[in-house]
Amino acid sequence: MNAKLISPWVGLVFGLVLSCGLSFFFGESPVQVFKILTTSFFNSKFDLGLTLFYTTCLIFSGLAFALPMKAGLFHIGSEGQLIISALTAAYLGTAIAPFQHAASVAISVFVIVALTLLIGALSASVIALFKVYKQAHEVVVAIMMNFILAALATWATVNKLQSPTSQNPETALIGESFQFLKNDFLKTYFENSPVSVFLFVALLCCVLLYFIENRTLIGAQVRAFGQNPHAAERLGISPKKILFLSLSLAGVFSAFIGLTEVLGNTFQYKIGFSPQYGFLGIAVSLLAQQNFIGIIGSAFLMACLHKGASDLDLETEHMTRDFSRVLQAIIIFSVAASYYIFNRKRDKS
Amino acid sequence: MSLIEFRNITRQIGTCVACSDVSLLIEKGHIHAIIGENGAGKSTLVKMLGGLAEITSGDIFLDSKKYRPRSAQDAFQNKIAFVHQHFVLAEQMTALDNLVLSSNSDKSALTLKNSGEVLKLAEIQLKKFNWKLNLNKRVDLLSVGEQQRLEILKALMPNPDIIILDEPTAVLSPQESDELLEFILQLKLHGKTIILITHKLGEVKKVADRISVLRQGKLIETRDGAEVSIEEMAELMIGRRVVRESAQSIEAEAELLLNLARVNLKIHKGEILGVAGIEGNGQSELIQLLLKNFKKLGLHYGDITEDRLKLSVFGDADLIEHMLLKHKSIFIQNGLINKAKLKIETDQILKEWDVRPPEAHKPLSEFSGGNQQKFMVGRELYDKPQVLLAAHPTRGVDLGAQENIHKALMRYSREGHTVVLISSDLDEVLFLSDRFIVLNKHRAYGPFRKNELNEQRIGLLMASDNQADLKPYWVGDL
Repeated sequence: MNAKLISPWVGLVFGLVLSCGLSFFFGESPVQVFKILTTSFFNSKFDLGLTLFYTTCLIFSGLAFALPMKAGLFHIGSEGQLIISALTAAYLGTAIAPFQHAASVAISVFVIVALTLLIGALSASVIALFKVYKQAHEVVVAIMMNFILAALATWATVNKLQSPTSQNPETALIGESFQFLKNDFLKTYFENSPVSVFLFVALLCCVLLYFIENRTLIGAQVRAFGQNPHAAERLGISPKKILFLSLSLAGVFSAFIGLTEVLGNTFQYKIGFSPQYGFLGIAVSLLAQQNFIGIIGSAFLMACLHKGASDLDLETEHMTRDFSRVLQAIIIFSVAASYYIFNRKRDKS
Repeated sequence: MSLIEFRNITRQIGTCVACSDVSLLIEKGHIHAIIGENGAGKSTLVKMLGGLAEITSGDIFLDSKKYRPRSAQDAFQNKIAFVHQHFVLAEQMTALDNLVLSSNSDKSALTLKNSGEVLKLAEIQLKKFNWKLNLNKRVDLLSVGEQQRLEILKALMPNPDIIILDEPTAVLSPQESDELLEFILQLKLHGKTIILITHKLGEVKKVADRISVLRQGKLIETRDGAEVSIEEMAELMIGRRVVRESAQSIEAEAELLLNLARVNLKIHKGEILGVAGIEGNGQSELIQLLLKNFKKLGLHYGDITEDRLKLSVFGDADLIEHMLLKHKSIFIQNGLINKAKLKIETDQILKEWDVRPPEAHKPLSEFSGGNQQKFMVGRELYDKPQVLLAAHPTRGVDLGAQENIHKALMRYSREGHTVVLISSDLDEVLFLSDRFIVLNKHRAYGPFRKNELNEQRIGLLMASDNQADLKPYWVGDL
């Protein structure tokens, strides 16, 4: 039990040491690299704000992985879902033109949010659909869906929604009235960094899920299904219900990342806006052992690392952006691998 | 000269002592039975011999040489074979593939033994046994009984000297059990040493040369098989005398609860309806049929499943969660779980059923099999369902608990509730049932009143292929 709890942290430390050590071969001082990795998140208020923005996205993607994991599903389809929902939000933001009236704007925003979340949920339900009716493995379907949805989004952006005023592959900005988060108090406080009130939405989601898991029947049923689907079915728990519920909720959380980006940060869809939040979320979730409250902490930690890794490009001589991704990958790999290594040992004893 | 010597063997996991200071001699060529209640440490003791559990302190000597197995491979190399209580089979592969896999050692991981060769060897063994087993069938399509046969066959393939059998007859029919015991005696004639772990004292009495009794991790006594009676064994095991009295059968003129048209079977209120038969003869289909009908009629039913680990136990969930999942409507108030009530009621079940250790927050999977079963029975009876489906309710359970479960089922049916008892233990069916049916090759025969048929007749119904024996009793197909 104890080994299970500390294993991801051992993995984290191992990954950090390994990646810092690796930088030695690139002619950098491992100590310097370690310092940048671990301290660059609070260099300035703006930096901290940026880290909190990453935290927001990583909480959502961590939840999108952790929730299906409770139901025994290894859900890695978050990346595709967040891309397609970001595009949805951006498209709706340009297509809907509300009247100059607060109520009209509010309704429009509601429609944008609701439809974006719905698209997220639907795109994730595809995985459940294949699993329930064709017994397809969720990992395979999710991987394929990632490619399909990303390709679909790229095609739509370049061919249908390309911003006429930009050379970059991105959509036009959403309507002025939808950019109300541009000057919200968080942004102002953090010197106009990407962070927005979606941070609080993310925190709220964690608390809500924690509550649902521990205090309601459906929480217990999802967990039971994850541990023994046969026994769950015998007890009258419908596999269909659990699969669709957990995966479509995961899709909703993925979609929140799209909203965080489009309504809270850039106000448009840019191809490649996500530094693979969907996959970083796996590490976030594993680090927290799928504990919904723990995800807040591990998301912040991963956000700090992500911020640090991005800054390596600027702050060192030889490290490129790509190499910083290698470092991140090593850390994530170590964390994920430790989970299995330690659990295998535990089974043996 | 003793072949195996356990010297002051102790196994401790945390604060839990599974085996404590056990010293035991096992003679070459003997059938040595180890008996004891659930959680007495029998399985742990032989697992240490088989390299499957670490020894905390003490030594094992094999042929006077110190022997400290680190893995099952070590035991294998010392010609020790282990037949597990729970199956260790690759479910997606055929029976033959499983045999091929097990007859290859890790050292030759890149070469596979010829499956034709293995098939030949296996068929020789099967013939010797006079067992039937379709070796080309996928394991997950085999019945539990057939899987058990495969498991035993697998252990016998490498021609071991010492064979450990961990409750081998738990899932076998009486005839199959007799055959197995016969075979065990055969093995002994060929000079093999057999360690037999079982609850069935009758079997022990029939075959064992020496009998060791364990209680709460300690060795109580080792006696000669010839000089100890079944009653004495039972007493040594649980420390008190078990009196088995027959149930009083009521005349089932009671109200009709359910009519299973397909097998032409009427189930009445207040009766225990037994279903005898060798496993894999239509039990699972009957269970599905019953569950479907319970649901269709909206009956409030309890369900002691036929495969506890697969169908009842959730890996990491504690007892409280198991309680909640079953009795959801009782413990949900305004959409929220009433945790205080859950804890109180779960503790109540633990107390009533003497589940050890009585820790409601411990994962169910960490309890011993017998204690798991006691909890399951307590849970299913908790809210007094109209009808209880009890499939193998005492499988892998010790004598004391078995008696409790039997009494509870009887009390419960005399209160006007219905029990459908499905069991491969014929004694249990005859002991408890008011009426019973027999399943044979997916056909149902009966129903019979208690004492209507003698055991021999029932044995024929269970195992015979002869239409003349079966025809008069046939009532339906599953």
